[in-house]
Amino acid sequence: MQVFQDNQSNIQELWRKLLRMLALTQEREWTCSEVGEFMDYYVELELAGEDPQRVLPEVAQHLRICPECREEHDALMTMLQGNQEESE
Amino acid sequence: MTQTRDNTEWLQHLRASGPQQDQAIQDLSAWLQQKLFFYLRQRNDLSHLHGDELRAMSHDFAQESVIIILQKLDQFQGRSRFTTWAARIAVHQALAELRRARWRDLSLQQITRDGAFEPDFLHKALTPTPEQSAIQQEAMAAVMDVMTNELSEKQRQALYARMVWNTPTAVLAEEMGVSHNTLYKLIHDARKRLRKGLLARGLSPEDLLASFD
Repeated sequence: MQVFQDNQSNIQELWRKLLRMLALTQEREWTCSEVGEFMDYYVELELAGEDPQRVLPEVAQHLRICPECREEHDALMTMLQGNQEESE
Repeated sequence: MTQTRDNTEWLQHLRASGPQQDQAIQDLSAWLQQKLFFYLRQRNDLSHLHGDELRAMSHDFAQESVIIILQKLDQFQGRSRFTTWAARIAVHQALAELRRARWRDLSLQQITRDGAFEPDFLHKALTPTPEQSAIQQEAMAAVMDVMTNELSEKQRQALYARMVWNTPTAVLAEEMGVSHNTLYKLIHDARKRLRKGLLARGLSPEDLLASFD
């Protein structure tokens, strides 16, 4: 498990993490459940070589700020890209 | 198999009864299991598991997911292929379980000492050191001020648990007795207050971030 210990380099990393989050923070943001409803569509656009950030900017913004939804997106991409010859 | 069905057929077959439904469930389950296995095999934290163990894990995740998918069929909007929608549900379930398993040994109670916000780490993190630049010291003072005076106890607790301990949101929401959405909004509001607090002092998070690189 990744846990920050209170040494200087991790404190610097915590600061970067906090400031990155604050830099990305928008007045209105979609929640994880709202993003989840469009994740299938978003990933298909990506796999089709389209620009999902243009079509669904709210999802793209959320993925930059939410590590769990980003993990879900990356996992779904891996699943759908893998074993293409055996899939649909 | 999956290529023989379009979205309408998937819905029809899964809603049918008898052999047609059984076959559709079996096909969907097998497809999800194969996809989940492919994904689990790539995860570094599971690299110590044998193929058989990963196959069993994929099987269980796929079975659980199919039950949920059958309950949610009416929610399928048709924006994507049915199988992509189903895979999203499966990966959501699988990741939730993997995060819980990782987290199991460490409860929120231990982290926050009986639920109270435990400020030692953040206090130390927010205390400027001589090596830090004037702008960093100013930012730390501003964040500490907003954290102390403008955030609620729950917001500080949630930020601390997510940022410092990487507590899974599902676990944290459960421990705090709120829904996942409420927790997201609680943290979002905290981020907005911190951002406004910095901007009100003439400090931009973007510029500050550059000063930490």
